Amino acid sequence: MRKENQYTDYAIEVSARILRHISRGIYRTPAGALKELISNAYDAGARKVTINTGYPTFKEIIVTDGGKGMTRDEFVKIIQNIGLSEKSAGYEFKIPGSNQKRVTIGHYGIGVLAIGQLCEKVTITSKTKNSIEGFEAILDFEQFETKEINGFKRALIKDEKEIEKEDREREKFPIGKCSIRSLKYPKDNAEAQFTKLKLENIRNPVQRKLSGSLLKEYNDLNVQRLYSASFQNLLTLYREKEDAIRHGQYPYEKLCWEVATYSPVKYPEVGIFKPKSTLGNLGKLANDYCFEVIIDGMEITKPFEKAFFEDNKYPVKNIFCWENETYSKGKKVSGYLIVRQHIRPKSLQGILVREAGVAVGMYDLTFLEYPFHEAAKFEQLTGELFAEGLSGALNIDRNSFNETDDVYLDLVKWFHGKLNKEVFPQIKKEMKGKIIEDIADNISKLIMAYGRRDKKDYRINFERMGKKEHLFHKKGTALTVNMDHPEGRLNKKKMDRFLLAAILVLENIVSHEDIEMILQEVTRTQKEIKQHG
Amino acid sequence: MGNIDELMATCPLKQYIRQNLWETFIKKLNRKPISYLTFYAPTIMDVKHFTKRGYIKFEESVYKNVVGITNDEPRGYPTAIGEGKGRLEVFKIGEAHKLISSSDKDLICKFPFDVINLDYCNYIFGPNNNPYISGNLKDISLIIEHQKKNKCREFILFITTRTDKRKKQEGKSVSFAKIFIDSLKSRIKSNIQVNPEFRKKYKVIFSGDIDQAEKLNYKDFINIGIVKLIAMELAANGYVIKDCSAMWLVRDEVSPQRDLLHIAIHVGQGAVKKVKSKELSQYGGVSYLEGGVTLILDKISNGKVESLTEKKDRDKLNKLLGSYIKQLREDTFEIKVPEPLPHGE
Repeated sequence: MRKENQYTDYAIEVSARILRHISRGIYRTPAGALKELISNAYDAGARKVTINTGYPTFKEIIVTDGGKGMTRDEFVKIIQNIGLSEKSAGYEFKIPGSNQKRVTIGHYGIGVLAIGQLCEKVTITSKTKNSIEGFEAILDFEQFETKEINGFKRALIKDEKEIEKEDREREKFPIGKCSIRSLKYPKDNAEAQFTKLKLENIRNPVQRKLSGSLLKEYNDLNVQRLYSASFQNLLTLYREKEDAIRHGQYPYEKLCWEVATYSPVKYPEVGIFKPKSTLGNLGKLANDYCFEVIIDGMEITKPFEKAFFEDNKYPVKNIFCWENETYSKGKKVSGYLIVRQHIRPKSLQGILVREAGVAVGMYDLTFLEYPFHEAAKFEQLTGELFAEGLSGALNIDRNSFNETDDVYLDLVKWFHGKLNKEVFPQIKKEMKGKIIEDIADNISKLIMAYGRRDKKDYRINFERMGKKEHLFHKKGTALTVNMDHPEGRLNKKKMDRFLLAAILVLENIVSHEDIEMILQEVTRTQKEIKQHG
Repeated sequence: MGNIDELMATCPLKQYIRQNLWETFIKKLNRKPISYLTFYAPTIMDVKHFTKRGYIKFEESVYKNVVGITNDEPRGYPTAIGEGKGRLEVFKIGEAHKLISSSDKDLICKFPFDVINLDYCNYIFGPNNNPYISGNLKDISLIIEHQKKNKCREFILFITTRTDKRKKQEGKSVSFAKIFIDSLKSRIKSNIQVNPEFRKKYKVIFSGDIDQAEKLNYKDFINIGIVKLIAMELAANGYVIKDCSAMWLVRDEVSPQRDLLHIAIHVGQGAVKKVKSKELSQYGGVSYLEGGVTLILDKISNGKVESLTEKKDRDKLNKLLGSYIKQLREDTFEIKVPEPLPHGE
């Protein structure tokens, strides 16, 4: 019998159904699942990972990395304890065959779930260095079967109710079956190390999404495949077709772009990322990851097109760069923001946060929910933050942050401070300077045009001469304007009045001393009218 | 990659042709690297071989100046992007003549090419073609025309066609179209009449008239006829045949047997004399006195047109070229993984 005012303890438990749901797939997109596999290769010390997608049908995907590989025992441990990875985030190790060090991305050991989300069957072959033994494992994610409902094939859990009943009595939840056999390699191959994943029977919805066959259901949509010889080539196509890509067309190009954004690959040697350029140090930082990702014979880099930096119409206006700044206790961040009037593709607009080089989500146009309105200025910014110590703030899919995490909040605070005190004030200042420059240019053109009517060579210059100097200095047909004079501060509202005054002086109708008095009188009268109506 | 593609990729006979016919002709250009237009087999073994030999530049994961055309989309894409160390610079799906006619900018801007490899796996003028011109002949014609338009002075042209006569099905011949064979006959006939050198060399190979030649010595007749056809197309564009050769690949392991003729032509600039004679009126009135055509007659009469058959030559050539073919086959962008020993467990 329960006594009043006395607490009773209960364990809080998670239902099998939730775990099963998670195991069915936690990644929003196929690129997200591939990211997990690439991250695994990165943590395994691989310097290169190759992905053969089987484009355009995507019937089979092969991911191979030259990382340290696994022994049979290690692998068995992994598949029997998914989510209990022994390797923590932030573990530093020397990259084999290089002098550089690498910090692990860290994960929950859920790469197998990523595979299960993509396909029904996978063959894993792996071998470690200094050994002639390896293994081959065939994983069959038996919990799923494909059923056709209303003409659509869908992956479903086999007899869900029955399995749930069994789950209540289990401590672990089987999501598939694995058959392993040992392999022996010739002695000549003892040095070789690798892990190869051959994903077969790619799930129908994944295949349909990647191949774009879903689009065939729209009869009037005739989408032709694109072809890119190189990744730079693909970036150009991505920019040109971005609107269509956003609406679900060209999924392959989207996949490549997303993998390039996620992965800790190097920057292309273009524009400000070139060595010794403004962001050369960040470029070097990315190069130091010594990590290459090749998709279908195309080496991917960070998604920056050469044209982004070579467009004379929309040049890069400003670059903000921060190196090794402390944002939280003992935690450092480096990063940059590029200001450019027309950022294309639009997917580059915003800020991208990276933890150990790997992107968390895509470019965030809210700038980590910056609370002030900066209108179109947001769309003129693209940047990345390379932060340390954020692994604890990552959600399970590594695609978003727990926005109440202390360390994440410190990063947000630091970044918003930079935006508020450094970035936007500077942009505003530059914008104002540009406006004044445009007005001066307009006045100059109008004065010259006015003079040409009477075949007079009128010219006007703008200089800063100090507050005590007169507004105008006339020499022949040339007029110099003192921009420090109260009437010489250009703005759009005063432009007509200023133009008239300049013409009166140039035409010798009013002397340059008298015009100041007239202008002062006009200003005083205007103020009075405004005050008294 | 399907089994047939795999079989083609690892065929030592085809590799022999790559090395001993195609490569020999490319050498004649005395130039590296080359620009290359190919209707490749779905394994790009030709591209890989010429890259290995230094004729194609591989830079930043791209086979530079290589244009691949295929009208087999599902097989074509994985090849163009997944079978090599990198990707072809330009890759087009469709038929060459249609792409050229529609002024496909990616293709047009790549003209002229140093080497053009029109590796058709079927008849260049089959029975189902339009009675006047086949798509494949249109390809050849338009490509040569574009070489001329783009001021190409010298190039190599490879043409491969199936030639075997198959049994009639439902009363229809399933080989070259009759109109095509007739056209070849008339072209050869005109050469016999107006070109004494050709006539002399023709008589060394064939004993009777052209109809008998077709019946008794079909393969040589086809070979000469197609070279003559190409020679005329070249002459119309101000080109001459500087050298010419051929090889036969007979696929006889699986029925029906397929005879594939591989022709290689070294093309240069030059004017070919036009011949007008009363005797020619029945053949269209105008012909070209192409000296180059006699080169193929020389090769045939001197026994220099090799014929490779699967049953006879496969094993022998496999021993010779097998490991190199394997090396080419594995030359992809993917990380190489060692082969385990058999009976691993």
